[in-house]
Amino acid sequence: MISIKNLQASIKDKKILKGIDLEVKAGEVHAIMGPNGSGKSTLASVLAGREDYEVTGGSVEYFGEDLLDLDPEERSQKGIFLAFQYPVEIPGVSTTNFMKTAINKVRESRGEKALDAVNFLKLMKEKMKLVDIDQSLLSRSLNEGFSGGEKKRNEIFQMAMLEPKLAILDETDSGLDIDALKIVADGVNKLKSKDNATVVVTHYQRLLNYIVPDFVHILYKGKIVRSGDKNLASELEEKGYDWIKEEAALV
Amino acid sequence: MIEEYNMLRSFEHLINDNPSSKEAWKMLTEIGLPHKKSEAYKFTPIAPILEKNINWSLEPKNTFDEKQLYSVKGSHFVFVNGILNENLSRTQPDVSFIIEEVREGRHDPFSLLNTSLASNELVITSGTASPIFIYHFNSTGISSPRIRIKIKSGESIQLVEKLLETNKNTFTNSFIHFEVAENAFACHTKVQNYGNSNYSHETVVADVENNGHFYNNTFSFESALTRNNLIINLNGQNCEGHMYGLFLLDKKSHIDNNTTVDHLQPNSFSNELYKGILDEKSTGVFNGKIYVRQDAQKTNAFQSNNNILLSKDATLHTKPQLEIWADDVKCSHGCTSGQLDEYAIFYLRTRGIDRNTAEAMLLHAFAKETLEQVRLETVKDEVLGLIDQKLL
Ligand SMILES: Nc1ncnc2c1ncn2[C@@H]1O[C@H](COP(=O)(O)OP(=O)(O)OP(=O)(O)O)[C@@H](O)[C@H]1O
Ligand SMILES: [Mg+2]
Repeated sequence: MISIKNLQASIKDKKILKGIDLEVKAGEVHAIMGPNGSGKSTLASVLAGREDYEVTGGSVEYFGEDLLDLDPEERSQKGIFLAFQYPVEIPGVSTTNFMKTAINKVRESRGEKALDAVNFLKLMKEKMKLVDIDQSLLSRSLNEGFSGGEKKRNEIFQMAMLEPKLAILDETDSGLDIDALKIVADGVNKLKSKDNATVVVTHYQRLLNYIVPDFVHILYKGKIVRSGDKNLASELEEKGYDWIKEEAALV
Repeated sequence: MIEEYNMLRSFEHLINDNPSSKEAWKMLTEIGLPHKKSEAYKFTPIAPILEKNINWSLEPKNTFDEKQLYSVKGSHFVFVNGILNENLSRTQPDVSFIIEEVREGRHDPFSLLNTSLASNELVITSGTASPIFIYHFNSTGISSPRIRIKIKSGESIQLVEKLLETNKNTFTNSFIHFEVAENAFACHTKVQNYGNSNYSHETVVADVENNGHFYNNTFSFESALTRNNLIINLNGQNCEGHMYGLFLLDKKSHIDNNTTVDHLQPNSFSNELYKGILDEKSTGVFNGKIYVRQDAQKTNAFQSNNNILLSKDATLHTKPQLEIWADDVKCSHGCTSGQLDEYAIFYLRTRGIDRNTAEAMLLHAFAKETLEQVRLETVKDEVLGLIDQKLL
C-alpha cells in the first residue's frame, strides 16, 4: 500500500527525518514507538502533506503513485487519514458542517454525488454510535473547548466518517481514560479490514493490548533503529529506551 | 481650504431656502470640509477624492427596481436621490410618519452639508410590530437623505437600511437620527454593497434615554469610498449600545468606520465588535471611541476589532480610543490583525477539503460572529450570501 524509502525531511534547515524505510501492506497494523522528539509526528505530518516540512530526500509510493507530489487534500481524497496528536481548534465551524464539507469533497473527487441531508445524518448516527460520541459535541465549534479526550475521540469519529485506506493515529491514546481507550480501540478494530491499514504512533503498550500490531518499529533520532513484532513493545515497556539509545550510539 | 471651498461652490445653488439650512451652510463655509490634515479623516481624505471623482451635474436616471425590495412584511420607504417617494413606498398602518422641514443637526462638516442640502426630513414615529425598511436609489451627483426615527417609550423597532447606488460617480451624504426613549429598543442594520465608483458618507446618530437599547449592525462589502460615522449617546442610566460591523473588502474598496459611544450617566453598557477581511488593494479603517463621562460610574464598555489581511497590498488602520473621566468603570478593548491560521488550513485539508474551500470556511466562521444580532432572517441570509459570494 505504502512504501517509504530513505525518507528525509527538515524544518527550517533542521534535519528531523534522516532516512526512514517503511513498508505497509493492506490489512496490516504497524506501531511506531520512540522517545519524545524522535520524529514520529514529523513522519506522520510529512505523510499527510504538511508543507512546513521540506522533504530533502527519499521517496514515498502510495498505491504505486508518488505521494509526495500530492496536496494534502488529494492524499485525503485518496484514502490517507491523519489523527492529529494535537487536533486544531476551529472556532465557528461545527464538526457536523465540517464533516459534511469533507465527505462531499471526497465524494466529488471520486466522481460521486454529494450526500443529501438524510443520508448524511444516517451516516453520522451510525459512526457516532461506533465511537460513542455525543451529538452535542458535534454541533459545537470544532474542538473548541473540547477536553483532551474529547478531541481524540472526535479524531476517530472523523476517521470513521471518512473510512480511510491508510489511517495514521498519532498518539490517539494519550489523554484518554481507560474506558475511552477501549472505545477508541474498539472503533479502530471495527473499521479494520483486509483492504486498509493502520499506523499507530504511541508511547504505551496499553493501547497495543487492544489494537494488536503486526509490526512494531522504534524511531530514534529520525531513523527506525529497530523493527520487530508485538513483543518488541513489551520489551520496551519493561526496559525503557536506554538500551536502544546505547545500541544506536554504538552504530 | 481654498480647494475645498471650490468644491462647496458647486453645491451653492442647491442650498435650501430655510433658516436651518442657510445657517448650516454658513457654518460649513466657515469650517470647510475636512482637508488633508484633518485628524478625523486622516486615512480617508474624502474631500479631495470627491472633488476629483464626483460628477456633480449627473443626470438622474430612473432606476427604481421593485425587485430590490425585501419581500418581508413591513413598511418599505423608498428614497430616490435623497427624497422620499411616497408613491413607491408601501407602509403598514402601525407606522406613522411625517415630512418636516429640516432642522438644525450636528455641527461636523458632513452633517452641516446634509442640513444645507436635504430639503426635508422624514420623521417616523413608531413602535411597530413589523420591521421598517428604508431604500435609497441614488443616481445623482449628490444625494442627501435625512431621516429621524422616534421610538416611543416601551416600544421597539427593527430597521434595515440599504443604499442602492444606481449610477456611476455618485456621492451620498446621509444622516439618520434615532431617538430612543426610555425603555425603548431599536435595531438598525445596514448593508453596504456599492459599485467601484460610488462614494458615500453616512452618519448614524442615536440618542438613548434611561433603560433604552440601541443596536447597529453595519455590513460593508464594496465601495469606492465609504465613511461611516456612528455616534451613540447613552444619555440615560442603564442604557445599552451595541455596535457590530463587518467589512469584507477587495479590489480598491475603501471603508472607514468611525464609531463613538458616549457614556453620560451611571450603569450603562456598550459592546462593540468589528471585523475586517481585506483582500487585494482594499483599505479598511476602524476608529472606535469610547467616552466615559465623570457621572457615568459603573460603566461597562467593551470593544474589539479583529482583522484578517489576505493580501500584501491591502491596508488596515485600526485605532481604539478610550477617554475615561469616571473612576469606577470596566472597560476593555483589543484589536488584532493577522493572516489565516495555516495550521488550521492544513487540518481541514487533511480531511479532503481543498485550500480555497478551507480558507472560505475559516473566513466565513470569522465573519459570521458579527451577524449575531441580526434578527431578520431574510437580511441575515442576504448578508451570509454576500459573504459567500465574496469568499468563494
Ligand atoms: N515547527 C518546528 N520547528 C522547529 N522544530 C520542530 C518543529 N516541528 C518539530 N520540530 C522538532 O522536530 C523534532 C521531532 O519532533 P516530533 O514532533 O516529530 O517528535 P515526536 O517523536 O512526535 O515526539 P513526541 O513523542 O513528543 O510527540 C523535535 O526535536 C521538535 O522540536
Ligand atoms: Mg509526536
